[in-house]
Amino acid sequence: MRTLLIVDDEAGVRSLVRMTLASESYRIIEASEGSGALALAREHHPDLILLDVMLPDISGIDVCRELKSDATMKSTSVVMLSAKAQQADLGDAKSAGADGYFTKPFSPIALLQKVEAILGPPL
Amino acid sequence: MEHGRSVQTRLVLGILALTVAVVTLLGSWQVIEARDSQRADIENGEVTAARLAGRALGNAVEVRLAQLSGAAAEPVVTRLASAQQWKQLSEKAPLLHLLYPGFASFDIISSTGRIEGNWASTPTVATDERTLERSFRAVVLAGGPVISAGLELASPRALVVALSVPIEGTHGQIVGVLQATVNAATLSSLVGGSGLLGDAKLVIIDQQGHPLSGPAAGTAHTFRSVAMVERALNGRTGSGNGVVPGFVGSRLVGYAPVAPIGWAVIVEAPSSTLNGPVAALTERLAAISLILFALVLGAAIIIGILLRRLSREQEKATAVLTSVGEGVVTLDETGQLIGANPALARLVGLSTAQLEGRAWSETPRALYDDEGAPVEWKDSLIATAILEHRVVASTGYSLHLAGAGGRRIPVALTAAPLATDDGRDGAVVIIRDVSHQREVDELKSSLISRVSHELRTPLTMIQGFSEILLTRPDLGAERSRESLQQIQTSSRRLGRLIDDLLCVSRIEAGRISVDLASVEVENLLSEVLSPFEAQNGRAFVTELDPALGPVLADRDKTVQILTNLVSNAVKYSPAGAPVRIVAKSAGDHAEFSVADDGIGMSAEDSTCIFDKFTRLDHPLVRKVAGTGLGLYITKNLVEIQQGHIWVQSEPGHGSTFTFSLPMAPQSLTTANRTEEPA
Repeated sequence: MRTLLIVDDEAGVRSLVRMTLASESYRIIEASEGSGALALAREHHPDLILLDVMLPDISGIDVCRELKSDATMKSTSVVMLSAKAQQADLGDAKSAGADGYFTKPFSPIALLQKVEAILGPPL
Repeated sequence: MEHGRSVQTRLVLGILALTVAVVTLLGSWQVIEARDSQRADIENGEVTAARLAGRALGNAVEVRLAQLSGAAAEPVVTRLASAQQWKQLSEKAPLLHLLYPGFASFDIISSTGRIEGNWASTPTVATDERTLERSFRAVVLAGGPVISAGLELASPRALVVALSVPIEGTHGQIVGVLQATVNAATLSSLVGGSGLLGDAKLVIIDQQGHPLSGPAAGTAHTFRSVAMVERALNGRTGSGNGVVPGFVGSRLVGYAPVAPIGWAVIVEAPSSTLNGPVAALTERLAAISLILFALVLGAAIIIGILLRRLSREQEKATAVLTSVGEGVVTLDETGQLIGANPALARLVGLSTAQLEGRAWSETPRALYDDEGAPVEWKDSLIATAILEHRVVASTGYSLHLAGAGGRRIPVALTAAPLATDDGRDGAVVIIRDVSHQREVDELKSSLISRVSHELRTPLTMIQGFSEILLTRPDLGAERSRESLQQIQTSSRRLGRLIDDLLCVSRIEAGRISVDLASVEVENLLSEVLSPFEAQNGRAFVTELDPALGPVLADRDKTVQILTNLVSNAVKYSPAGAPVRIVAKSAGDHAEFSVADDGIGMSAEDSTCIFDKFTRLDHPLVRKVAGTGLGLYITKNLVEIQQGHIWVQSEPGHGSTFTFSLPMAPQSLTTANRTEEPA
């Protein structure tokens, strides 16, 4: 079973992502802040993190950068979810090492396909 | 402007003066030529007359002198051998008059100055001894006869010339003087009677410049101030025009010295004697001049009207420049400031006088680029406009002007080529303070960014959940319901957001209206609190002043105000912490307070919390969705109902938002009550 970490301060968005990815193949854990996300990631080493950019405490980009520079987190992929849609934001995400970038509103099907593309088909 | 007007006046006067001068010059040419030729003739005549008169006068004096000291004097004055002879001589003085008519007086004077014998034609003639002694010494010094003038005779002054002849003793020594005086008027009439002078008058002037004949004779006038007399006294002959003391008006004067005695004679005639022969020509010329003058005057009036019209146009332009809000400055091709309007002066904190004449490079208020480096003149848009003869405008907010106190003012600049007054290339530059515009632009960007963020979140859920509902028929009843609920919540959130934006738009456009009525406070509070009370675990404590009457308010807007405040209290205070709502009377106002035990805020934050797009920099605030428009809208809704809103808060110790609304007037509440039964 694969572990997915959903990080977003909006409960509704977390709920949407959870419902999108809900299957027996995924174990889903959630965080609403950057600090909580880092703690959960280090504890559970999720296969993929769906990470909001605008978090109340620290920026999702910084969370991504920190995880990507952590040698113990090498196997974790990060896909950014953001309401920001500027080219610069995409550049920031790439430079922070993100593996994908979704702009809100996003299609749940497209998100699912992206997750499967990164992790491979569900086991 | 003042300068411009004075230039115009000078121009008009100048044109007038020049035209009149030219006309007069050209028209007078003939007269001048005629007059000059006539003047030369007359002047030559005067000179001749004066020369002849001088010579005649000199001759007359010499003749008398010769008579006195020569043969005629012989029997009287030779050598005095004895006192007896001296006595005899003295007694002969009155007889001399008979022998030598034309003399005014005879005095026989001793070496001590005593008059030994005397005869005078006028009894008032008197001389003092000192004067007579001086005459004696003059004769001794000369060793022979002396002609002197200007003797201090009391009156009349006409008796002036004295001929002093020595009286010798037996050994040849001078023992006395025989002094004879000649009446200058006599001499003058002698010369005048000779027919030498024609109609002209003769004036004899002594060495001191006193007139001895003519109308000024015997007065205190001195002719020394008359240059021509001075020249004559210095032995020169000539003529000219001048004012002669004792005569009225300008005189034509011929002058000549009287050689033997150092006097001068002037022969004078009024200058008007010239006018007769040229009078006709002058009259004609005067008429021509008058017509020309009238023409010039007419032209000047027309020019004046045109100039005044022009000046009015200029005044209008100046008034526009002075009152216009934009800074306007004119510069020449070298960057020298020619002029600046008050708006520009205000912008840079200098006076217009301080700005004018400054070079671009010397101006401490020059332009700076967006990195704060001064813009060189040659690189400036103004120089480009002048060089390329086209209008150039800046874009964006890249230019700054250094304002008073070093403040950087973002400016937009438009430079248009313009020829300066003296024909050189220059530019007129309009400089606009775009601080406010930039602020608005920044706000706009901030609004778009926030709004797009706030829109995207509910949209994400609406789009996402609806897609799930559509693509997963196997979702199950529970998940389907949850999805629909999420869609509904998000739709409401979107609706509220749009309401807020429209409300802000109406506030900014001044289009928000209020429907004031008497509103019962208790009902109002129940309406506000009922949706919140449905939430679990939160107490809403209401304190209502029983004496509080209805307020004059727009009910819906007041509900919106209270809802916003209560909603904030709920959002930014710990779950379960109570929210207190107080309504009490405060004079002619009612005060409503909403207090929480939430995150609170600093005094600094309190001052800007009602500003648009302001949200506290606090993790809890960031966690809660919001645009930063709620309190801005709340404040505006309070104020359009004649109320005030303020906040008391401390970080970590909750906030109390209080607003006031006017009480409903008695008449309105009574009216409401009477309507109620119906």
